[in-house]
Amino acid sequence: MSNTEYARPPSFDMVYIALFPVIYRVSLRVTGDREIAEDLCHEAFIKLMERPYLLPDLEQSKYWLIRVVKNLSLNHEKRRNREKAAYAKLTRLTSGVSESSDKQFLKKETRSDVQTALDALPYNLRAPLVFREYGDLSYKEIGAILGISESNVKVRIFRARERVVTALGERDVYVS
Amino acid sequence: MERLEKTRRILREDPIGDWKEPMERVRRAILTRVPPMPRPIPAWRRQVSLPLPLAVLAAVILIALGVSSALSIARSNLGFVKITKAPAGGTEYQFAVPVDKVEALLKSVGGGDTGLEAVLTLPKNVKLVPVGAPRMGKETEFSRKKP
Repeated sequence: MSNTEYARPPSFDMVYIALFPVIYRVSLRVTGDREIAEDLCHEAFIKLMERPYLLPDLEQSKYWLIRVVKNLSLNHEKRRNREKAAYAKLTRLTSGVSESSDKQFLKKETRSDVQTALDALPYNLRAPLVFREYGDLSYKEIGAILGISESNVKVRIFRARERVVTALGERDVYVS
Repeated sequence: MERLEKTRRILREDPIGDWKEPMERVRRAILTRVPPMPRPIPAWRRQVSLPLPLAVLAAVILIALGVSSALSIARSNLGFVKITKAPAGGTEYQFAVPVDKVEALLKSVGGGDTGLEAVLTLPKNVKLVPVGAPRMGKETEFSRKKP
């Protein structure tokens, strides 16, 4: 990194152009929904714009944005779980609702096998894996974002990968 | 291990689809966003701008008011002596003393120079009654209503 970059932090436009793809990819992989991922990106960049001062470089901006996305996606996850629970309760009470219509209600769009495998992971395994694979964050950074130890991050990522391997294996996705 | 590496590769290579369209949409939404209404500032945190001379003048006036009020309080509590030259050539002394020091003052006046003229400034709410000369006392101390 040059001295000029230290002296002058990147402008909002520069950060947006450089980091939107990363933030969008992370949001999409965590939530599994394009519209929600777009909303998360929107909110995260708005928060960045409203900061009283710019962050010194792109790496710190990325870390900050992913941390915001994590908070937003966690809120979304909690809301989704509440909705799922409410819907499950409703289907138990209502007869005549088929399994396929349940699935249609919960998953309106077609997902790739990878995304389906990620969606099947619990949030506490999915988030660290996504931050590692799609956000290129270090174990230490992920630990700081999630409020867990570095070794715990490694364990979670390992378990998440194992589950993804199993899920993808069942679908015979990676036959090489 | 090989399986896990392969999984990593699959995770990374899985396309996310078009991200340029969402990028443009979000950019437009950010640009057209109405700035949030500024929060109302409480009156005690509101700031005003003043020209420097006016600010200095205000500070001087405030300090002068403070000093004068402090002096007047000190004069009423501690007492003071003011010596002025009278027009006829004599010297005029003005004393302001606390009530509990009046007796000592009167003694000093009565036993000293007969040509001395003293002006005693006493609080208005203190009532004095003559009890012999030159002693003076409070009405409450020498009330005739006492048995």
